[in-house]
Amino acid sequence: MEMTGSFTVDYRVEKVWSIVSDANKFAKCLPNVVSTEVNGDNFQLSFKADAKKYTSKFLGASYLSNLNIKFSAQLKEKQENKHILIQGDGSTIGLKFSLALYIDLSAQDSSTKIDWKAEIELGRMAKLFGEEVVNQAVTDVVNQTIDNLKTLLK
Amino acid sequence: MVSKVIVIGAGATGSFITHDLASRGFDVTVIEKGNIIGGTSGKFHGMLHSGARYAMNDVKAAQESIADNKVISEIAPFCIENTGGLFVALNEEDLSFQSKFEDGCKQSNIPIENLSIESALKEEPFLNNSVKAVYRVPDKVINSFRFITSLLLTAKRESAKVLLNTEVLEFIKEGNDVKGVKIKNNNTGQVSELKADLVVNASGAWASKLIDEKLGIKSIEMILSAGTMAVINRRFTKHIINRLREPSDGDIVVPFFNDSIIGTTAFIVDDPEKFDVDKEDISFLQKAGSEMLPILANYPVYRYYAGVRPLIAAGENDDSRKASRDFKIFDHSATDNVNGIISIVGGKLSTARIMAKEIGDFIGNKMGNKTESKTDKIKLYWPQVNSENIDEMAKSLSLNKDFLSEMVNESAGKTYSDMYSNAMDLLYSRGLFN
Ligand SMILES: Cc1cc2nc3c(=O)[nH]c(=O)nc-3n(C[C@H](O)[C@H](O)[C@H](O)COP(=O)(O)OP(=O)(O)OC[C@H]3O[C@@H](n4cnc5c(N)ncnc54)[C@H](O)[C@@H]3O)c2cc1C
Repeated sequence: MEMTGSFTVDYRVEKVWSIVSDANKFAKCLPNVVSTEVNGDNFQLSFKADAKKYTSKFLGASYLSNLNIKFSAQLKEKQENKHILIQGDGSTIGLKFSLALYIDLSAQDSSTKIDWKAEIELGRMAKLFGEEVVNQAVTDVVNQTIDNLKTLLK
Repeated sequence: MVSKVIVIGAGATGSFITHDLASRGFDVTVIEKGNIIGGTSGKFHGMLHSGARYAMNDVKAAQESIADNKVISEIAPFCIENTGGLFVALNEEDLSFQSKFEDGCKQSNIPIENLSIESALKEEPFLNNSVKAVYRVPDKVINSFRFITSLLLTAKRESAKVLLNTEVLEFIKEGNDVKGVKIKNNNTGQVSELKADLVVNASGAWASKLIDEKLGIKSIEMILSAGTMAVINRRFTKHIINRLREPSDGDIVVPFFNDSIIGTTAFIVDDPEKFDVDKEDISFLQKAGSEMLPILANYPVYRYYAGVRPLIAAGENDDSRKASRDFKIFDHSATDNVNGIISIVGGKLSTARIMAKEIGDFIGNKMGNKTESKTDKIKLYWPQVNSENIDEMAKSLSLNKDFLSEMVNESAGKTYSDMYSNAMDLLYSRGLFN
């Protein structure tokens, strides 16, 4: 699946770049992060997601109401103050997914426009839980990440 | 005429159904492809739930658990260790669940006791001493081998037939009617046919695939959710220790015999028998367990295992949070136009009796047997070997009397021998084959 979005913040592009190009800072944008390990442009993190909404299709699955999600990624295609790709793989309950998040920055006086595109491969997850349900879950996580990014910029 | 019923699978579910139906006067045969506890019933946490784990988000499951916790303790005391359980809060986030937990337990009639930190640490000195809140709940430990063996021994005395190491290969079908099964004795390789008026598919994680492949029945939409448990071969607590939070990975340590079982991590698998356990999960479990009992970090994980839960999709418009049950009975004549077979999937070992009663009522209605289930009153059979009956027991188990006496006396000297004597368990289970 693919998601795109765009927003503008009242900060100079250098400040925005300093966050999206720093694995330490970017890793904090994911929701409910439990642990992070950063090594240069590589990072590994685990975060939690409230999955009640998604797993409730199954009887007796209440123990799946909180999922631990592991994600490891790399910052790539760095073009200072312009473009970056955050690409990685993750897994939860033994199901794998991959994510490529393209971020393009454009300076507009003292503010910055951020265009982003997320490409997500969901593999078996979509088949098992239903495309619609999983897309909703991913949309939630991506939106929270973008919201956190906005907050971090403020 | 007495109705003939075949039950496929002698896990907790199938074994209790066998006992329930046999006690109502049905002519029952249970068929199990492996040995006792070869399926999920042998690869679980070992807990007779108080229901407290479900009190926060599944009140019905919590109510059924506490109800049957009492019943099972009455009818099968020889397989229960009354450890009690503690729910422990370790940080502010855990504490935020306190009122939800208290309310849920109250609503489900689960008696809980809020312990002072001081007395909790006195009772359980290995508990993390920065614990913020502790509740006592009536969780217990259940030895599933004894539980299932005694169910089958009891069912045998009620005239049920028990075929272990015997696999259902095919179904005998006439038109849209299932008339019995084709079975293979896995010891001798011998194949034979068994006729029945009704077949009950209680094959757990295998249930969907079995009837899809052999009968083209597609109505059981199932995914398989495996759970890993890590075992440290020391026991540090009297109680089962649960993390006070909503159900999640790494939230329990069960003292089982002399071991500590840390559970669990969930992952989806394709086949209930062929899957790999992620080694990272083992270290995750040890870490999560040692948040509650720091000493667990000092000992190696000496073994791990995984059991598989069949998760079934609730009906079209059902939301499982609102569905009243965590198990489901499928009448395939209604859902698939195939008569003579029904399936039961889901649930917990702790609530196997309730599941068996429910499907027993369903079958009774279908087949015109109005006898009520009395399984809440029937004490399960568990022979005690003592000086008075040792002759008789040795004879019935085809063993030398001196040898039997030696085995009994040897296990009597061990810790927790009442509930965990391998030698005694072996002896009693031989009763199933004789
Ligand atoms: C990680 C984990 C932890 C759990 N912890 C707890 C707990 O602490 N307390 C609790 O109450 N519940 C617990 N549960 C749930 C509980 O273990 C299960 O609900 C219960 O054991 C299921 O029993 P069953 O009889 O339905 O399935 P099973 O025990 O799997 O029995 C099904 C049987 O069918 C047999 N079979 C399959 N195909 C055939 C065939 N073709 N012919 C003949 N036989 C066949 C299999 O060999 C198997 O023995 C846990 C589950 C998991 C996964």
